[in-house]
Amino acid sequence: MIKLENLSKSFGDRLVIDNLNAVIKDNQITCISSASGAGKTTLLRIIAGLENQYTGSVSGVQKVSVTFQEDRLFPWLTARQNIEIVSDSAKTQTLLKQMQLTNEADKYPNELSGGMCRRVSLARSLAVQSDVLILDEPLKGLDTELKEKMYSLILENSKSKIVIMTTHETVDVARLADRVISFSSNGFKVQKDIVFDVPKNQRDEKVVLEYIELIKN
Amino acid sequence: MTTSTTTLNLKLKSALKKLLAIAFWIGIWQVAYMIVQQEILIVSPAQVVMRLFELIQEKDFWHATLLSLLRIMEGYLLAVVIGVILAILTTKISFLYDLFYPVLSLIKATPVASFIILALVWIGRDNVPMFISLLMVLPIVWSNVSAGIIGVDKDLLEVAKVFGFSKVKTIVKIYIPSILPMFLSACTTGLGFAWKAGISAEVISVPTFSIGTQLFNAKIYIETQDLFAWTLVVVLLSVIIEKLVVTIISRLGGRRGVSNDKT
Repeated sequence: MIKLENLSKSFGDRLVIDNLNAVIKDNQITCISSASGAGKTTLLRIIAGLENQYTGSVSGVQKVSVTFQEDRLFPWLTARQNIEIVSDSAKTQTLLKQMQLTNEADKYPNELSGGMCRRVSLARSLAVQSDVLILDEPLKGLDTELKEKMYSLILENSKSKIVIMTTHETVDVARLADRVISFSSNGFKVQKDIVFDVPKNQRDEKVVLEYIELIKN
Repeated sequence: MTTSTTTLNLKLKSALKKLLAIAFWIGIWQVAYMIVQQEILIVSPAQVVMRLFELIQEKDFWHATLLSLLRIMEGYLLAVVIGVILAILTTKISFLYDLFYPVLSLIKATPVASFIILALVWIGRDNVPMFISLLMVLPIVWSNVSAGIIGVDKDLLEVAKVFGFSKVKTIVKIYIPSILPMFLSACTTGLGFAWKAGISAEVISVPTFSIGTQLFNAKIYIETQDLFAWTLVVVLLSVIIEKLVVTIISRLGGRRGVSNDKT
């Protein structure tokens, strides 16, 4: 369980997160939602240990793995090497296969399409044994068919982890999340906290549409 | 037509163009020789080649060439090593940057002749070419490698932090590949500088055996044929060494990929 207590963060005079208190539960995919630029990525960076200048406390974070909003691949390494750099070759091979990147394994990032780079970046974060998995817009730029495969892959690799995800696609939230927390643009205050009760592997189209409506309203 | 055949044709075409350009300028040289007709001012290309052929049969030719090569390369390699160490230290410790920046800027701005004359007084004639090569290459390596270190992608360093890379892994997997292109470009640029400055230093300091000494003698005794032949040696050696370094470098830096983000 991740506990955020009295968390505040400002950039110069701009207070981005104002005294946030929240709990993110174990074995759940928690989706964080807010308007662009409200502070989602800042919060994720604090949880990942990439921001030092903040007040309040974050507890319960041990080993983190991150899919960054940008792919952040090493341009001098191939797709395979980009995953292998954080994992072993067997796990890398499995993930390349699952991500449908076997034929692209030995290509460099500048030889891959945007969607392929995204999948390599996602694979890298899934390749690591971690307690907390942060997915910042993990399915950005992927088509519907690929997304379907990625949903099951994310679900399979997120068991017994705390997963925190951001996405602008409500359908991704309805398919993957156990819980959605909406934050305001002003001070990042909790506006909505929705828990989805239908298990993720049992959500049919009707449930997904219901959830989408719930998120939108 | 296959891709490899097309590539071969393109390479042949490019080589042919270069050869034609060289032939054109040799032709101009020959015409100039025929017009001037004063061997004290200009000798013919054929005379130079013949003189060079005579020279390479002399033991002293190889002695002078080898010693010049050794002195200049010694200075060059020392500059590369010291330049890299200085770049690491000055980018990590701001006090050292403040301390060394004026000195390295001064070296860049000072005419090489001033250093050659000073070095002649300080360290003796045989070491001047090595010292001058070092001095000319050092600021280039330092500034390029420093720029490489400063320009390392902070996003990738965050990836290293998140995934718990050790310091050594961060250096090997991020810093070195990031800096390599800048380092290699400094190595190739520096080579030309080292060679030209080193030979100039030899001409002024006149060490016992050296290409520069031979050029100096040719000037003193107005041996225009020798002057041209030794200059040709300098040019040929410069081309050969540069090709050699570029080959080593392109093998070392045989990596691909430039852009990071596509999305």
